[in-house]
Formats: sequence, C-alpha cells, structure tokens
Amino acid sequence: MNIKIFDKKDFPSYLPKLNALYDDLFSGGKGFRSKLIDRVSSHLKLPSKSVHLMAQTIEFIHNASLLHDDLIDRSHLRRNKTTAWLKYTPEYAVLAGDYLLARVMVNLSRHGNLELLQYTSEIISDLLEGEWIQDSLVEDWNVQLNQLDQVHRLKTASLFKWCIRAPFICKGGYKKDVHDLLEELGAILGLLFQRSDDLLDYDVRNYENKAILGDLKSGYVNSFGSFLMAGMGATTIEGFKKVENMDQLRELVDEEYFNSRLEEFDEMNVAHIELYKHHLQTLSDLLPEEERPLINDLKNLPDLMYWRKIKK
Amino acid sequence: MELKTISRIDPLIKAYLTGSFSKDHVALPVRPMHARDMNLVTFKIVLSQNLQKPNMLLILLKAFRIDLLGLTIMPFLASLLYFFGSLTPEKLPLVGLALVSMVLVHCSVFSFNDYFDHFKGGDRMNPNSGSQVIQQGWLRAQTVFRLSLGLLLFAVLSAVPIVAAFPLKLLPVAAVVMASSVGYSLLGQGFKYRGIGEFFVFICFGPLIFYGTSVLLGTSLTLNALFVSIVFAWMTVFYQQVKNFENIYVDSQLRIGTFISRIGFDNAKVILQLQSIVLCALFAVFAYKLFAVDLGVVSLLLLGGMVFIFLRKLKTVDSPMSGRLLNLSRYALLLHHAFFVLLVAQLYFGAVK
Repeated sequence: MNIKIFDKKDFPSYLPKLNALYDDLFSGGKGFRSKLIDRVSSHLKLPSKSVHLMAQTIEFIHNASLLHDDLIDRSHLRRNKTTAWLKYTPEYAVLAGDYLLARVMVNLSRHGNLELLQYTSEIISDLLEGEWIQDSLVEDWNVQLNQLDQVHRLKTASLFKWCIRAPFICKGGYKKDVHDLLEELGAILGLLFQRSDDLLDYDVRNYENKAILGDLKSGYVNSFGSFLMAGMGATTIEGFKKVENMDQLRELVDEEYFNSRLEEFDEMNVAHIELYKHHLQTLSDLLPEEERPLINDLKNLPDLMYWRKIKK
Repeated sequence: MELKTISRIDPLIKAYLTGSFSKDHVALPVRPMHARDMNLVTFKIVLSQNLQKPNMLLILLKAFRIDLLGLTIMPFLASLLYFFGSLTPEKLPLVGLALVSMVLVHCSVFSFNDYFDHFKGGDRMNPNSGSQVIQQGWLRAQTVFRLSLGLLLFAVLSAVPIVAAFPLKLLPVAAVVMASSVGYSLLGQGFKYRGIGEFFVFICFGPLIFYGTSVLLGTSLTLNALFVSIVFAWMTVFYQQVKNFENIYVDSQLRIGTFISRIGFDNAKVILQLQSIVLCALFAVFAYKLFAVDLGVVSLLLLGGMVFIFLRKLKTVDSPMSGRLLNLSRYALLLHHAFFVLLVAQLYFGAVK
C-alpha cells in the first residue's frame, strides 16, 4: 500500500511557509516506520483508514522529533537538504514540530480509540524524555553502554515499539502478555537500529557512504564509542576528543583492537537478535492461527536493522 | 542459547526466579527492554557447570557485600576504642559475640536485599545495583534466601547472651535492629521503598552501636561519644543517599520510592551538597571538641579536602545517566573510612578529650 503521509489539505494554508517546510521534510524520507505499520496491519485485516491514520501518526511523530533534533544539534543537512531551522527559522522549526504532535493528538482523538491515544501520549513522552537525557550527556566521556541503552530505549526504541504494538491496540482484544511481547520486540528492533546507526558513525557497514564521526565531533559518545572506550585511560579518552577522521582514530586505537571490540559488539547484538527470535516464537504461540503469518514478516527485521541486510 | 519466557502469574515463575526449577541448570534473568508493568520474565537457561564462576569464597564475599562491611563494624570498633578504658578481660567474650553478631546481621541484610530486589526486578535493570551474584548465576536466589535466613538466625543466637546480660537496656536495641534489618527491604515494600530507609540507617549505624557498646562495657554514653556516633551515622546515610542518587533513574522507572528518587535529580543534588557542608561542619566541631588542636586541624584539612573533592565531582554530574555518577558512592565510602582511620589514630595517640 502506498501511504501518502503529508497532504497540504490537512494543514492550514494561511500559516506562512508551513506547507513548504513540511513538503521539504516529508519528501525525502524512506518511510520505514509507516511501511512497518502497513506490514503488521495487513495481517490483522485492519481497515485502510486506520492503517493510514497510524502510518501518518508515526511519521508525524518521527519527523517532529527530527525537526527538533536538527535544531538541538545545530545540524545543517537532513536527507541531503538544508535543515528546516536553517532554511526557515529556528522558531518555525520548533513550532512546526509542535504542530505535528498536536495534529497527532487531534487525529487520534477524532479516531476515538482511547487506548491508542493514551499509548501514543506515553510514547511521545518517552521520546522527549530520551531526547532530554541524551542532551544532558553531551561532553560526558565516561558514559557506559548500559546507561546509553536506557536513553535509546526511550528515544529510538519507543517509535519502533509503537509501530509493532499500535495495530494490535487498534484491533483490540489481545491479552497483556501479547502486548508485553510486542513491546519487547519493538524495543529490540529499536536498540539494534540505533546500534547499527552508531556503528555507521565509525564507518562500519557504511554502505551508503554517510558522513562519519559526527557524534564524536559534537561531543556525544554513542553506544559503540562507549563500548570502544570502556576501560581506556584518561589520556586515550582525551585523544578521542580531538579525532577528526578515521585515520586519526586508527592511530589512537590500533586496528586490531578496534576490530576485536567490533567483533564483541556484534556478538552482543547477535544475542539480542536471538532474544528477538525467541520472543517472536512465544508471540506466535499466543496469536490466533490466521494472524501467525505475521511472524514470517517480522522474522528478518532484526538482521535488516543491524546488519543492514538479511543474513542467510 | 536456550531462552524461556514465563508469565508472572504462571505458577512456575517462582521456581525459575528462586532457581529451584532444576538441579543442573540455572535461569539467568534477561534484562527487559523496559521496566514498567511487565507481565513476562525471560530467562537464559544455562547448564550450571558451563558457567564461569569465581571460587565459592569470593562469591560469598561478594554476596555479603564485604566491601561495605566497614560501614557496619567501623562504628563498633570506634566505640570500643572510645570506651577502651572500660574494656576488661571478662567482657571480651561478649564483645566478641557482639562483633560476630554484627557481621552476621550485615551479611544477612545485604543478602535479603539482593533476594527481594531480584524479585522486584531492580538488579536486572541495573548492573551496578546489588551484588549481582543471582543475576550472574553464581548463586541461586533460594540459596541466597536460605543463607540470609540462616545468618540472621545465627546473628540472633550470638546476640542472645549479650541481651540476656543486660535485658532491660539491650532488648529494645535488639528489637530495633531486628525490625530495621528485616523491614528495610522486606518483600519489596520495606522502609527503603517508602523514603524512610535513611532514618533506620541513621539510628542503627551510629547511636545504637555506641549506646550498645557503652552498656556492654558498663560505662555511660557521654555527649562526646554520642556526637562521634552521629558523625558515623550521618556518613552512612550520606553513602546510602549517594548510592540512591546513582540509581535514581532506574529506581524511578521501577517506582522504588527512596527519599532521593522522590525528591528528584535537581533537589537530590542540592541535598547532597548540603549534606557535604553539614559533614564539614560536623568534622570541624569534632576536631575542635575532641582532638588536640594540631591533630584536629590536620583531620579537618584532610576530611574537608575530601569533601571539597566530592563536591567538585558532584558538580560535573549533569544527567541521571552520566558516566560521572558511577563512582560517587565509592568516594562517599572512602570518606567514611578515612574518618574512622583518623579517629583511631587520634584515639591511639591519646589525643581525644
């Protein structure tokens, strides 16, 4: 199903530059989250209107967070385009993000599913909490991996949890155990997605040649950075603060050490992928038979998230 | 990797949580992705013989939190040295029993704490919390529970002759210690979770110890001695609050209502800063009232310097997830032990008034 997320008719045309800003914002994304919603919903036989609402909701929340993130980080590019705060104004970027979140609340309350509305508010709250805490960790070079995981569970994982769980809330009638499993599945996907993204910053499996070391240069130690630096002395950590490119990083941390830590990091995440598959199997036992084909659709997602391709 | 997920309402869950489900396998709880209201618990099932474990002595030392034993016995040793003039050979057996009883109570309380936190899920969420011997699979939860119960029983038995020698004065003390030990983390509903744990820690880790020792040695608890006990108690509470500050995020997520998690990150930082200033004031009074001038000045400079360093470290903590949070409690512990060492040195040189 081709889901159109942004339609100018949904937003007031009398607000100057708003639609132009959204046009820029929504035209570049891959729409992965809305595709995930579509995939899950198709097995639950949900009406297309509900699927569209959920797809739009998640993309609005995600893009609202991007508008705010880019301003917080003072990023200049998003999806190879000038960021909204820079192209328009910081004020418009903040308000445009807020407007998307308000729109989500309006749309969901009109839809009338109170549980979905409640869950969405909790997820937005988690997202903002994660963003707040992450911002408090800039220039903290001693942060540990398990601490960053807490942040990512709030920030990244919350949207993936929503994608997996919202269709089930929409349909209704599932036990708490099902919802708990869906939360865990979504959270693991989010964690793997984030860790893979963090590896990209160190030019690992960077198939799309994205810009690297952005996190490190802006003083933020991401999950792989934290794992790499664990146990290092103060002098080496000081060295990390001055790294400008991968050659300098390899001088600081020799290739063999980097690769061995990468291998350990990958092993840790393979364990998460195994856990995901276990939860998927448990979920399969709890679903009605006609919905079990969903399991096949969800099976390869963690590999896709982490390895950025399906492992055979 | 064998994994098993069980619902909390499943009758089998207790067997997996306690470790009694199998003789050859252990169930290692898997950290959940989110803490709130989870019905399901996932375990990694491992053959006991395949687990890499240190030797049993090291495991037990870790389980009993021997690293924190100083908080328990240093006030007692300090009180003995303080009342040294009243220590006669015939009192030595009772003093020995008191020391044994205190060590056993310490080991028992921390083991109980581990057991109940394991059921509540706190130590699963936070790898820096508790001894982690259950989470690592080194000891089954039921073993930890049985050990705690056994240790408590022996602690009570060791205390019986002491209480019997001074029933009117020591029975209330024993009752308060028992109630505090058992009630601190009982069933996940104890004092610790209600924001009043600090009160019981304060009473038990200073004034009661000094009072008990004075009774044991047949001397009176002077104001100066009471003051010294208050300093010890204050530092133990300080350590506890710093530890709770380290765990503030996880405690909030799990709705563990310690005093620190109830007042929030910003207020907790202020409270700890104020606590540090109060400690400095206590050290200053302590040095002035109790020590000879030059030794008092040296003590104050050393302890005050340590507090100043702590304040600087605290200032750099801007986030409940900060890496700089992690070793703050060890520093608070060092402060406690440094005070003890200085006090002993002063007592040894006979410089205490």
